Amino acid sequence: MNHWKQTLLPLLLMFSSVLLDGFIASYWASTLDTNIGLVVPRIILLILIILSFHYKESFMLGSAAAFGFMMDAYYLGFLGVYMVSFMLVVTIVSNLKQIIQPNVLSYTLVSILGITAAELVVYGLMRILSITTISFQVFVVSRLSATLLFNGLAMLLFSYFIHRLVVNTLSESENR
Amino acid sequence: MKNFFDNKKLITLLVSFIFFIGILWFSFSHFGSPPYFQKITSDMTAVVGRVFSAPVNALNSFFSDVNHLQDTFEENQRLKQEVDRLAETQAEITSLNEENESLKEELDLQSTLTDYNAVTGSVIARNPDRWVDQLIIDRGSTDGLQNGMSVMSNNGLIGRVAEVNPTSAKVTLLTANEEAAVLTSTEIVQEDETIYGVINGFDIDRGNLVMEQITSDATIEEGTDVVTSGLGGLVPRGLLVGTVAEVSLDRHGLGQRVYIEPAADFENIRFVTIINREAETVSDADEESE
Repeated sequence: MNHWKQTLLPLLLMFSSVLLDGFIASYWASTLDTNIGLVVPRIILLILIILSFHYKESFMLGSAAAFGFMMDAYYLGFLGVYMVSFMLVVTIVSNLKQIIQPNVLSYTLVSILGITAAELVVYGLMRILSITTISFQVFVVSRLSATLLFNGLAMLLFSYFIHRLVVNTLSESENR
Repeated sequence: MKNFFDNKKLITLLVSFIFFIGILWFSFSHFGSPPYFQKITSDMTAVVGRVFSAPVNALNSFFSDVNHLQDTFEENQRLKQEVDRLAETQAEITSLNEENESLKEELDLQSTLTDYNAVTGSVIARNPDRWVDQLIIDRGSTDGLQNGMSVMSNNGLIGRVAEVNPTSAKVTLLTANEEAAVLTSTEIVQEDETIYGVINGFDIDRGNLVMEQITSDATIEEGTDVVTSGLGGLVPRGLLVGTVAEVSLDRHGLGQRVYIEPAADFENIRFVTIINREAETVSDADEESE
């Protein structure tokens, strides 16, 4: 009973955040286009980072590939872009969790690192596929900085609640 | 050498790299007509995505209705004046329609470039990073959608259908990148002359569509409406694209280049109308002849 709850929670969190990203981008499109650049909501990455601290690397890599595939199919129309970036973020966090304790501050710092890595991969692939022609400098100024600021703040504000939810679910299953 | 190939992680990395390059190449070359499993994944996600969008759309309509309620008196006065003029306009339209039908019969025309069917839908989501600025809408092939159909919103052309799944579709916006709006044939109707051209791209810095290949050297007035000409593709005639913002010479200095201020607000799209042209297209004609 509790074992499937332990598996279902991350899947539900990841699925909801995939949908939430597109929903935020659609309904607050003008708000996200700020003076300091375009904010890209990356709730899915924040969730992946928090979960990677608590779940096995193999499970998280599988989930990252599955939800990356879903993002690719649903939002882009071609595959591989989000799959690679999500799996990269999970690999980074899985290595870092051996030396970092999970708490709000470490989540925020790792999210800055993870989102930067993911955004760089996505930008690189978009340049290779000739979907964008903007230079690296413009990308950093007009997209990356605002995205990091928004998602870093979101992590700082909400990571505690997600952390508690995950930790409680895991400890509940272990006690049984 | 043996140690090199014994390194499990290195081999996994190499295999993963080849796999991703392969999958990226395969899916990118099938962009617009994805394999079945990709369609199913996209469609199932869209079905659940409506759980988010449907209540917000309903709430949004409710608040919009409340806002409109405040302007009811002024609107009522204006509508009364319009109703007075309506009877006269209606009579004129009826006689023009009859004339139009009889002329069509005389010319044996099935449907003209201006005839189209419209399918309305609502927006479920938008691509979060906007590298490919696409909307996901709740209409698909079961509603008669096809790749390349024009999509309108806020009284202006906003893009084209880029991928069709059974119950959902992706719409690439005209402003998605420099290439998204390419080859939409347009016209500017002025009193003395109709000027034809082709939209050749989107100027991201100015936020304007760029119309080129204008054969006429007539003076184009700023503020004039730019509409689709219906020449080629699945786009019917008469869809509003925007208004002329500026006229200059093209990069070779030989023809005119028109910057178009788009009519639609691309930041606030809740509902869309998908336009299905009735007149046959080149591909339809090819299929029939085969």
